[in-house]
Amino acid sequence: MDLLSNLSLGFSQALSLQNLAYCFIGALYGTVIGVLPGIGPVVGISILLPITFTLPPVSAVIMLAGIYYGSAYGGSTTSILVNAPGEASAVVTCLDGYEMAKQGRAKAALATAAIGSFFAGTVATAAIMLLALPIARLGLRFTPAEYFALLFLALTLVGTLATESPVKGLYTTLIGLFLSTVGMDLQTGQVRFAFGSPWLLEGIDFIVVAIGLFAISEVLVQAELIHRFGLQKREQISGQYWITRDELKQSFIPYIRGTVLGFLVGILPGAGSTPATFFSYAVEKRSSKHPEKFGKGAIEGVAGPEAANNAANQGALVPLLTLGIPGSATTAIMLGAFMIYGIQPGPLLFEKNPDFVWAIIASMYIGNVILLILNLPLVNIFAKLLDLPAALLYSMVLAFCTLGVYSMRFAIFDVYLMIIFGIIGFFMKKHDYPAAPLLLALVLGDMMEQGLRRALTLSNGDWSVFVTRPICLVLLGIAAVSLVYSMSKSLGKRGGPS
Amino acid sequence: MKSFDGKSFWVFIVAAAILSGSGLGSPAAMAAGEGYPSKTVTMIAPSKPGSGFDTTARAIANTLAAEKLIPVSMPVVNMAGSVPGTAQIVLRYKNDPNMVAVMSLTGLLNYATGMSPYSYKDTTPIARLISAYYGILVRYDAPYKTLQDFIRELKEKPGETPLSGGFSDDRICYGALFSKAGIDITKINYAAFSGGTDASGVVLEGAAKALVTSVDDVIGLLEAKQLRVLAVSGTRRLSGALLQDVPTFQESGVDVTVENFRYVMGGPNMPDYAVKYWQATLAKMVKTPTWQENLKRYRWGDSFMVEGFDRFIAQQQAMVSDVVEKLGMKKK
Amino acid sequence: MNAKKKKSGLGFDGYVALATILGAVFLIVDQYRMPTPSIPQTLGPGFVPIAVLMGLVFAALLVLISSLRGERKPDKADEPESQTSPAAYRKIGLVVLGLLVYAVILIPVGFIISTALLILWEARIFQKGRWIRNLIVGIGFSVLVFYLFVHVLEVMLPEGILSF
Repeated sequence: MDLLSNLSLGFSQALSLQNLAYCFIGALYGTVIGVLPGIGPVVGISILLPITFTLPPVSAVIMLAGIYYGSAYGGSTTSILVNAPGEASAVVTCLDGYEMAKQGRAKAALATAAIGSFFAGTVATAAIMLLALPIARLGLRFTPAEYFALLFLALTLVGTLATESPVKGLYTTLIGLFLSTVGMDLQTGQVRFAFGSPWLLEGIDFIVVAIGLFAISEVLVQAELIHRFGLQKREQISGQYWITRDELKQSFIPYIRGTVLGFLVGILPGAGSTPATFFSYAVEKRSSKHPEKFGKGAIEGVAGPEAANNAANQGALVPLLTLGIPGSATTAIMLGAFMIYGIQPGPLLFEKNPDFVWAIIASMYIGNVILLILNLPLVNIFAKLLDLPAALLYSMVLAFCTLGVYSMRFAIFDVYLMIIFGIIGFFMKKHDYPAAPLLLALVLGDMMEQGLRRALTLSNGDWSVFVTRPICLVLLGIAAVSLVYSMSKSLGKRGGPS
Repeated sequence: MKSFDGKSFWVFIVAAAILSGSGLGSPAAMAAGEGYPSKTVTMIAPSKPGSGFDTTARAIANTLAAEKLIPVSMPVVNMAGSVPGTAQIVLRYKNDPNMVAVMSLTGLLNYATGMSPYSYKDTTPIARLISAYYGILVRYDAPYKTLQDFIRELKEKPGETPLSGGFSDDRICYGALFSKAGIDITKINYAAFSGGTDASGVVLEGAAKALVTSVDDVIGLLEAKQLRVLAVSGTRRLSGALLQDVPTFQESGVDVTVENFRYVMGGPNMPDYAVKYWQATLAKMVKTPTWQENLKRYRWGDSFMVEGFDRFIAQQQAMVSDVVEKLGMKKK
Repeated sequence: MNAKKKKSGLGFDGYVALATILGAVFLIVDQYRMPTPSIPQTLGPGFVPIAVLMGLVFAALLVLISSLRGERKPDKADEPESQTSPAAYRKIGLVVLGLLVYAVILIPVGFIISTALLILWEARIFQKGRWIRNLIVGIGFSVLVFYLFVHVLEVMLPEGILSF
């Protein structure tokens, strides 16, 4: 069969000692970069780029691809250990991952993240291999109107993230939406709510807020706990066991759901992996027999999103390879890299450079295996970090977070912003204002608004475009149902025992 | 007075040599620019690592090092963005010979809209280095054969001929082009995206009728016959089998040229000797094989210019300010 | 029995709600005063922000009303054991102060020294003594990270007073 012969050709190239080495280096480098907040694959790839000029294009791309999907493995490590997300797509993992770590189940969380990433990465690579060309144009059907509908749907799922008080959940969601409008509006160039600060022109960065609200506030909470209860003897916080068979069984279906969801969202150019992780979390919570466990250490809340994250990253390669349209800053850098090596991604890629493409696909399978082998032993090592004395752990967390935030764009302003959100996050925790909806709204708000307005610009002001386009109509319908469902649940809550 | 006996004479000579070498030499020596550069020269890329400015800055630094064109090291420092970056440059590097930076058309746009209070005159432009050219692109099966076809339709029914493109400099391109063609650009529907490639999706789908962006960004789609270029924005046609038959705006009947140029600049009032040094050094750099390799790799258009650059940049600022004025994009 | 006690009146929530309403009104007015660009837009750049801010006023009113009516479930901060004592606030304040000072001195003093100092300061807040251990960790961490960023990743970090 054509497929098998192509694939074996690809493997023969990818399995050369040289290319294996490059794959390994890329994967390792990517994992390290994924762990650091602020320095992401964009920076990592662009810095390595000149060094790769001397390599044959296949080797160079194998290495860069390794960095790309490797970073999706590393991001969740610090999310789980210290509530500090390494990538935007790792924020959702904080919700249950960190809880698990606090309960002594850090190793289980890290393990399920690694295994889920491997599962999703491998399955998604197979999906690219089999489906790339047929589904290439599917992504194009998503015009701004559909993006608006999709993101609006994601926002309605926010209800699942607000655990205790729906009113406060609504409140923080709106705060998040407001914050997402700060900065320059792409459609008109108007600068909103920057109050003259040049640092706010590009808007408020999601990572700064996430690190402030999650990680910094957590350190403040710990400071108070230690003040009240004194320094506890840190015995084996990392936990004794690794991951139980039961936990693996519980993770399995979330892996599948996360992979499918992540891949589908990933192939939409511009969507990115972060909304995919929020979607996965919401889906897992709604499908669970014990939704109340979410936010308190439900392993499905880590398994699903981590799989979705990796699947979305792979999915983003579809429009890149088949159309030459990058879906994110990271894929844009990959596109630039391809062009530098003289490879033109687009509909002709599979025809003109089949050796190249199949070698890359083969290397992605290999890379995922390498990453699994790399990350599983690291689970124990990383978890050991939790056994550090609290004073050292938290002071290093603070230094680490500050560095990460600063290194995003070398602005001390961002560090101040992080501190402010840290303080806000502390009071939010104390008074039950949920942070997750704020973050979700912050991520989605601007994209959703731009989609809405672009759609109207393209239709010359015709609002019917939202109901005449089939995909858009369906998505808005689901969103309406979801909204009604959330509202009836919250009304029921308020009418109940109080 | 024995002020110049043998020993103190030599002490004086040695001391002078040490002092001038360390940059604390006599003002006369420094004014003549002797021994420049003797300290590390910082290269500022006013954007995040990985962006266009950053790549250009690092390419310059790496080429200068590889070809041994400068005797000192040149670390690359990033800044948060072109607006805060320019502000820091203007505020911190007055009269400083030991800083160079990369800037582009975007800087002119920032000033025109009022987002940045600093114009190019607040810095010291040294030389233009590279340029990228825009194109008006349509879907391959679109009914337009020439740029004039499209302009005609745009004039007749502006509301039904939406465009898409990037949000900053691409806008200058369509603004300058279509206003020169006699269209009221405040009637044009333009869906802005964060980059040209993001904007191509809606044209491929059909929701937008034309794409305005750097031709380089979408070469893949051109090769695959998904998009077609009606005209390009430079003074000359672009090279290569794919683009050599595509006319320029001027050849298509609209007398305007637009290019996204990147240039090297120094801080405010950079000393003359430093400016001359860099003009000469960059002139040497662009001829080296390492730089040619970079040009090829990154698909940059070599547009090195020293002579007449002042006039060029002033003219570009005027064009940008005009478009911004017409579109009402000035921050009041 | 204090877990079941309802609190009414302006609590923390009430003040937050009031501040939000004031802030939102101010921002709505500010946005209205913005000049409109001549670019044709069905929904201008002010539409969504103003809509969101009005929604925020609505949500804040809900929070305020439920706070005044004592409907809300007593949150963690109401239980006396959960109240943050002034001494605890002082500790938290010191943590924040350390971060603020770090932000101020980072560029002039340089990454390595500032970060080492930060670690020393913050570690002290969590635990008295162990200066030698903290110093070793602080310097080790700072130097390692500096090397990783500046020499491996080629991303500049402030050198400050240590520039050589």
